[in-house]
Amino acid sequence: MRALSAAMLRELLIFFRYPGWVVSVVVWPVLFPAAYIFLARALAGPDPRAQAAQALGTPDYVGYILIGTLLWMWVNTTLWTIGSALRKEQLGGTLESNWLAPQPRAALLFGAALAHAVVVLWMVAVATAAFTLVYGLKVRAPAESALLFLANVPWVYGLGLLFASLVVWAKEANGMVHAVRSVFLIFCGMSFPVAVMPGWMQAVGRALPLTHGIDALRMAALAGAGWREVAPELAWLLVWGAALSVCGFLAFAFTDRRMRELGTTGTY
Amino acid sequence: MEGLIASAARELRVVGAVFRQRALTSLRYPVDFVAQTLIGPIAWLVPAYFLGRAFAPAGDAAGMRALTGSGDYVTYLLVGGIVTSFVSSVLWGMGYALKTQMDQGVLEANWLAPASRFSQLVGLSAFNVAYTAAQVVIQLGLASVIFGFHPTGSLALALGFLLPVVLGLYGFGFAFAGVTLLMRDPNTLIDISDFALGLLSGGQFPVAVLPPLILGLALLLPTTYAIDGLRGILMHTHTIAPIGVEFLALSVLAGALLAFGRFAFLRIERFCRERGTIGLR
Repeated sequence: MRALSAAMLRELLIFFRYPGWVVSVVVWPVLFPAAYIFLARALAGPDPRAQAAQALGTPDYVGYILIGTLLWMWVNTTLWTIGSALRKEQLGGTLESNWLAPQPRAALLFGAALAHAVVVLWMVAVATAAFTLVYGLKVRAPAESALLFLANVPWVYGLGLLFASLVVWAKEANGMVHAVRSVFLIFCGMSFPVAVMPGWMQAVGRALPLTHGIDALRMAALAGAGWREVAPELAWLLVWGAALSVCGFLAFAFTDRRMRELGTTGTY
Repeated sequence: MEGLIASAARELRVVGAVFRQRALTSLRYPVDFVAQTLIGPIAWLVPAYFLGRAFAPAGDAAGMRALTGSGDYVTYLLVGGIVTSFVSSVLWGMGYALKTQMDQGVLEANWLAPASRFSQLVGLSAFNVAYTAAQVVIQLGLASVIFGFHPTGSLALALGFLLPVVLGLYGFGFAFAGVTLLMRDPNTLIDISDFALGLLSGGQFPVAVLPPLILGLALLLPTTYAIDGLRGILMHTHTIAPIGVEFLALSVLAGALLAFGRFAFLRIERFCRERGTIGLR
C-alpha cells in the first residue's frame, strides 16, 4: 500500500508541477465539444432543434454532443496518462531503476491509474459545471446517469493497463495512442448516430464498449430512460469491463516477466 | 563576398543536416508516422463528416448553403483542414520537437554545437513544411476517395494564396519555439492553442455561427481570413472581405510575423542561455 500511495503521490506531484496540465482539465470540457456544437448549428440552419430531432433523434443536439465528447475525452486522457506511464519512465531512463526497487512493480502502474482517477473525478466535476453553466445541459435522470458513467470505469481502466504494457513492448506511445483513440473517434458515434455509418462500420462500432457507454448515458441523461431500457448497454459495458481488466492484468504480468528475461527494460 | 558565400553554404549545411535528422527520426518510428499522417487526420474528419451526413443525408446541407453559398460540407471541411493542418504542424512540429530534445537531454548539446541555432530552427521548420505538405496531399487524396472532394475553383490560385499563410505561420512557429524554451512543458499550451485556433478560425464551420463576442475574437486572427479566402477561391463561397484584400493583408502579416518570430526566438534563447536553463526540463 505504501508503494501504491507513493507512486500515486508522485504522479499527482508531477501533474501539479506543470500548471498547463491543471488548466487543460478546466479548458478541454468547454472547448472540445464546441467545435461539433457549432458545426451542428451551421449544418442545421435557422431551426437547429427541429433539425436535430430528425437527424439525431433528440432536439437536444448540445447535450447529445456533450455526452459523446465527455466519454471520448476520458478514454483519450486514459491512453495518454496510464497508457503512456511506463513508456514515459522508459524514455526518462528511470523505468529500470524503479523496476529493480524492492517493491511490487504493479504499484508503479496502479499508482498512475489512481492518480489519473483523481484527475478524472476533477475533470468530471468541472465538465458537469461547465456543461450546466455554459451549455445549459439538463440531465433528466441524474442518479442513473452517474451510475452509468461509473459502469464505464472497469473497461476504461482495463484498457489503460493493457495499453501501458503493449506500449512498453512496441516503444511507440504517440503513434499507438493516435491509432487507438482514432478507432474510438471513428466508430463510436461521439458526435453522430451510429446508424448513419455504412453497415460494416456500424458492426465495428456496436462491438466497442464506448459506443454502448455513450448510448446508455444519452438514453438516461437526455431521454430519462430507466434501468430496463439501458440494461442491454449496461450488460455490454460490464462484460467488456471484466474482459479488459483481466487482459490488462495478464498483459502486465507477461510484459514484466519478458522484459526481465530479455533485459530490455531500459532500452528505448 | 567569398566569406559571405562560405557562410551561407555553412548555414545551408546546418539546415540540411537538421532536415535529414528529422526525416530519419520520423521514418524510424513507422507507427507514429502512419498514425499521424494517415489515420489521425482522417479520423478527426470522421465525426464531422458523419454529423454532416446525419443532418444532410443527400450531401447538401441547406443550413450551410444559406450561410456560405455552398451546401457541400465535405469540401468545406477539407479546405478548412488544409490550413488547420499547417497550424497543427507549426505548433507541434516546432514546439514539441524542442521539447523532445529537452526530454532526451540532447538539446543543450545541439545548442553548443558550432552551428547557428536559428539555422537549426530553420532546418526544423523546412522539414515541417515538407512533411505537412506531403500530409495534406495524402490526406486530400485519401479524403477524395473516401468522402469526395469537389473544388470548383483554381488549385493554382489556391496554392499561391496558401504561400504567405504558411510563411506567416512559420514565423509564429519561431516565436512559439522560444516559448517552449521558457515553459519547458508546452504540450498543453500547444494542444489547446492548436484546437482553439482551428475552432475560432472556422476550420469546420462558418464563423458566422459563433456568438458575437467570440466572433469578434475570430475576426482578429489571420487564420480566419486564410481559411475564408481559400474556401472563396476553391468553392466560390461568400468571403468576409474581397479575396484580393485578404491576400494583401495576409502577405503583409506573413512578413511581419516572420520578422517578429525571428526576433522573439533569438531574444528568448539568449535569455535562457544567460539563465542556464536550456538543459532543464
